[in-house]
Amino acid sequence: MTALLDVVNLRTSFPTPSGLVRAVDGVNLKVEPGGSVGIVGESGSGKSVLSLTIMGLVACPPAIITADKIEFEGRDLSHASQAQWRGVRGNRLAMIFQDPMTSLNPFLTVGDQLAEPLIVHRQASAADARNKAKELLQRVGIPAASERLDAYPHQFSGGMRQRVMIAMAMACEPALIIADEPTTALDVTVQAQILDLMREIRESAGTAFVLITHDMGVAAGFCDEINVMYAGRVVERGSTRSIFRDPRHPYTKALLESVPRLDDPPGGRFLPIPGQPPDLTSLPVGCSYAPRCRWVQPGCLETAPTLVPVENDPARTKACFVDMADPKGQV
Amino acid sequence: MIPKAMYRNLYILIAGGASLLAIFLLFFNGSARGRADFAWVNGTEPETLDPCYMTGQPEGDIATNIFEGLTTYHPETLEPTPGVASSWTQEGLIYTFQLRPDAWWVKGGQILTVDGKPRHVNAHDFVYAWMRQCVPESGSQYSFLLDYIVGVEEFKNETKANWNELIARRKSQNKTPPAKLADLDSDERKEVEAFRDRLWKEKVGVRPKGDLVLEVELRSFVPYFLQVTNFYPLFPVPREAVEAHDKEWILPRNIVTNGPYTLKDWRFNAYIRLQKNAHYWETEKHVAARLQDLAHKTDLPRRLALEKDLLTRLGSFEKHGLATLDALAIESDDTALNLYINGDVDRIRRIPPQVAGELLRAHREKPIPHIHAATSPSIYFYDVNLELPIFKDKVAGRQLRQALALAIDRPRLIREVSRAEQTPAYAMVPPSMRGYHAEPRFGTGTLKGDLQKANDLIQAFQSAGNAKPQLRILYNTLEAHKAIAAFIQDQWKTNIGIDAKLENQEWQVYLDSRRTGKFDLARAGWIPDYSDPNTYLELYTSDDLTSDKDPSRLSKPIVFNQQNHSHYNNTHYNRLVIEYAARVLDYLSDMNKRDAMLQDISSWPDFKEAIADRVRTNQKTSWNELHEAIPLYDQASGTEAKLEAAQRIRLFLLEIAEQMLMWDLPVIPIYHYTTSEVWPPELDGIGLNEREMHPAKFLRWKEGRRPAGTRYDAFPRFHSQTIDKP
Amino acid sequence: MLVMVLKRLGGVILTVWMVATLSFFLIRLAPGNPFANELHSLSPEEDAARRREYHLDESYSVQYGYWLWDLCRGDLGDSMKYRGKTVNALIAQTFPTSLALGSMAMLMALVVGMTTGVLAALRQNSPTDYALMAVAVFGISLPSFVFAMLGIVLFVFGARLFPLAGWESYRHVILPAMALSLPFAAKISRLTRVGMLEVLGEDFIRTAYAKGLAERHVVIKHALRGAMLPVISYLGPAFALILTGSLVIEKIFFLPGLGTIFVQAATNRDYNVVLGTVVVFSTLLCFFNFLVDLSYSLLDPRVKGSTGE
Repeated sequence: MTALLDVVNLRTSFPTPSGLVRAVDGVNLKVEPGGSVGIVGESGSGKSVLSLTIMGLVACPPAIITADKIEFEGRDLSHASQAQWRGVRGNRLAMIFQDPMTSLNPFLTVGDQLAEPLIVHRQASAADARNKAKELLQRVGIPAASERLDAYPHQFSGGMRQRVMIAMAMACEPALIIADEPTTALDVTVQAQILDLMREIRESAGTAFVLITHDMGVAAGFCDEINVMYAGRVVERGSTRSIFRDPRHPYTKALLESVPRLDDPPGGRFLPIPGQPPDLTSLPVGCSYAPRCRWVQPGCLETAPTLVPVENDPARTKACFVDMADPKGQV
Repeated sequence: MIPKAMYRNLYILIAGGASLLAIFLLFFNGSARGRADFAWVNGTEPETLDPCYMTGQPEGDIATNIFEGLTTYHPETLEPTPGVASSWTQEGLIYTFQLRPDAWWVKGGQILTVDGKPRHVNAHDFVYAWMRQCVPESGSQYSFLLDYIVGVEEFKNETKANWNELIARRKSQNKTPPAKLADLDSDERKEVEAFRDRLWKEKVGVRPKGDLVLEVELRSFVPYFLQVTNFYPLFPVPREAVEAHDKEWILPRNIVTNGPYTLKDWRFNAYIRLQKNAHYWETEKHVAARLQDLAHKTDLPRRLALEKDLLTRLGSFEKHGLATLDALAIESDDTALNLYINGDVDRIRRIPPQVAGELLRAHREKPIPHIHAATSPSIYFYDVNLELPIFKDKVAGRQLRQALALAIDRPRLIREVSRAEQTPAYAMVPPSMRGYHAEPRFGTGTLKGDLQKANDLIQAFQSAGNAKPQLRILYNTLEAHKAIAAFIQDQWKTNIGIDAKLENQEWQVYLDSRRTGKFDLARAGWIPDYSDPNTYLELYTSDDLTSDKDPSRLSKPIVFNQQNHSHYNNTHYNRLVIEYAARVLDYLSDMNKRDAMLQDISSWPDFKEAIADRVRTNQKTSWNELHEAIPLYDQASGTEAKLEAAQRIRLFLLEIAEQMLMWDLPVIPIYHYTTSEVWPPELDGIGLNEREMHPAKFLRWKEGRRPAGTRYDAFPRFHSQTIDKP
Repeated sequence: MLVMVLKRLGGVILTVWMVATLSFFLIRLAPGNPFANELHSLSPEEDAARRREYHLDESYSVQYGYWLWDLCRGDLGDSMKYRGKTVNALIAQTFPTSLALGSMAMLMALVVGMTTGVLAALRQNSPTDYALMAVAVFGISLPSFVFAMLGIVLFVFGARLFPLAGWESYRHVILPAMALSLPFAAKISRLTRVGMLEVLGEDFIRTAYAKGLAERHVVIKHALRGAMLPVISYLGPAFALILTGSLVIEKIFFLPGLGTIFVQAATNRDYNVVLGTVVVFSTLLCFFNFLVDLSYSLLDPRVKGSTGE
């Protein structure tokens, strides 16, 4: 089966007065049709820039974007014209953003904004688009859909707004939806509802999802595959089960440990990851995580590790020289 | 393919823009009108067109064209030419005017009809208009011009008493005080009107004899009376219109006029358009008949000769008069000049001061045919507040004032500060005054001599124990006045060591300060009302004629002339101007009175210094010349000759008065303005005269007029100069 | 909505009344006499009669009562200086001129300002942007009479395109309106540019592009509304400034407008004319501000009282 989205060696850099910021520093990503891939990492890890680059929403001057391949539905997008991009965006490839309050236009009605992709990509008439918009609202679970069509975003609650965003992304039945932190701005109960909705859409329409989040729990509940990003690179990749059961990269392990659990003893201490995320203008020569790593070895500081399969399973990779079970072993 | 809803924001913007455009189109009220046959810049917007109430040149220029008095000005000589009166005679102090039957009142371009009959201007209209000037509630500012007529002063006093009585009576009845006749109850009004009519008939020397004859009897000898009949305060006024519309009778929809032009359109602060009156009496037929009349006479008196020449040269108004006139209400002299040079207007009143110097100098070297320049009779001077403590001592005060007057280098002031070729003034009466020897009345003739004398006077002042004062110079806020005041301040400091402070006030406040005596020295100006020295000299009189003989007079309040802000109260001066000069015929015809007058004058303390010793340019003194003129009066035979001789004596008396005035210096003259009128050489029927009066009735375009917007090349390129401080 | 409109209109009336009352007493407290003249003054009786005619001999409160009563009947009184002219007649002749001038100036300012502002924002940091904004700085800093003079030198004396003074045809409008509008065009240009740039940086613009919309679509439909709003807010104070600015322009070009009358009347202490113009100006100003607020609430659905609530 050809991958729906195949990205190889994507680099996105921003020239700044203090140096070149390598926001995305050689990332591969592959999404199968109907698949759900998670990208997990801290703020500043480059996950948002990655998704924006894939959508073509990063302005090429000033940014510098290079890739060996960006293929979507078999088409090479890296050298596509603006018109070609526009044909894809919102149509075959859609995106949901983090803050639904600011991501919806406050001056236009929800119905208007919903109808837009339909009118532009499907040449629908105004009446048809309005009907479809109503259906979409109903589909995402918004009651009194026909009145709500003429309402403005500020008249919706946070969860409702995100549903509208999802409806907007779904309007033209895209093959892939990229969801950038869709639940971060919402409270926990609503989070669950949104994730349920997304799951349901994936099941019924067969839409592939890329879910970007900093929350391991959210990723665990939704994604089949998880990519852990640190300092612009993917440091570990694998199925959700294997990542959670047996993390092989020190960063992944530290992330999992830092999440407090319900069954932790009361009065216990939090385990944050010591140190700061690195300055992306001056990455260290060796492994970028090395300054904060518990299992750091002298060799880690000299060469940057690349993704290598773990236990000969190509679906399971890590970018680390050290075996946490036996630190002094490999290097 | 792009959906329309997308452009909603654009529609909103376009709708906003369209509504602004709609507002613009809806409210745009530009007055696109054809070019007038003659357009001139009239200055400020006229306050009113009612001849009884108007006071300024902008108003006068319009009134002179839409109304007509007994006489009209000859455009070049200002001689009276026939107006509503077709002819007149003078017997002693009595003038008899013959009115023409076809001087129609015109409304909306048609002859006014009352009870089905066409209405012409009659003698009663003049009585109505002149009475209107004299009643206490009128607010007319020129009513003093009628004071020369027998009985007018009494009429004014008695009507004033009557009016005040009425007000008091109404007050006691708790009724509101009236502002005008219309405020009265109808029986009160009838009573007042009957009283006034009766009083006028009994006392006042303005008597209609039928509809077409008006007799006017003067109280004293007023040689310039016929000039005054040209002047708008003495114009007739249509009774019907005034009574029907009160203040609003002057609006174009109500106004009734009798002049060569009618009021067509009046756009506030923009323009006034006048249109030729099709019913004006100066028709082809009339002119032909008149010329025939005059042709038979060989030895025409000057006035008739001028009239004949005018009619021959210019033709009749009916056939040759200009059809439409525009008076533009533009205040800036600079813009006026620009409009003139660009060919947009045909006449402007003056060259702006900033370029006047340069242009007038160029004009002197090589005459520019558009410029018509002469010394103007208007004067720039400083009022001195005689009520200040330093002027209490008459002698010391006079020394100080004379020193102040002498210590100003006037030629330098004109050259460097005001820069418009003005004439330094060492007297009040300007050099252009006809028949009068207008000479410097103080000063030695050289700057050096003047400064020497000034310093001598200051020394004398100080050695009498007086301290040099610090004086304030008040002026209204205007760059030009400030520059002049600063120059004079510097002159006084440098030349005689007197400190002066400058004080400027906003216009209204400044007028108030002058009126109420809150000043030391105040900048002032005067534009004469007629061409006679009296218009300057009577300004400094008061009603105290007897206090030198009867000191109890001083315990009663003294009424000063309204322009006498200095509060100059010289009984001798008053007697000379108000009694002797004004009633010179009385004093000449009666020997006893004549001798008494001459005795009186020579008894005055200032007589030697101010009058008898002041030698004029012809090496004689005014006193001597006066004595030489008196026998000429006795020898003259015939009324005209006697009147002429009396006038000469009167003018000598006025010279003596001016000499006294310039000895005491309640005002310090600075300079006489320059008239610099501008009109194109292709314009005929217009001439430079000292009243700057140019009735449009006489205007003609010789060989056609320049097309609109043609630039006049005769003007040299000039640079605007700013007024520098010394 | 209707309630809000009525409340605001009530506010307008209240404001105008307060301004007019304050002016009423202020002008009477200023020293000077409405009937004063340099060369010839009135005798005491004549002065008294004039004062009586205009009720000036009564107490301030009585005068105020007369004036207010007349005002309610639409009668602004008679001019004291221009006898025979009612204030209503004077205003009727001159007010349309000022209003036409002001509206044309505002239209020019909006058209020029908004197009250059949008252009500069879309070409941010390009030479076009810098050039336009530099011109805008000049426009804001130089007083309008400087432009007027410059315009006169270039277009009246130089190119002889426009007339020097007067208010007759449309040609007479162009130069004065341009001179009056320039500072406002500059300000609106900068406001539009900043507003547009701010809006273009908002998240929902990113969403719009993510939906595959073209730039033109995004700018006109999504961004322009947000960029327009600061400009519309500015229109209220701009209108006030245009009214005061028109005084200077009217003087320079000799336009027979309300501003000239106002200044003359204040100098002459012509009480009724001053008050009449105050009433007209303040009503106009308040009403225009009310319209601006109304349109703002109609255009921004987040504002309470608009259709979005």
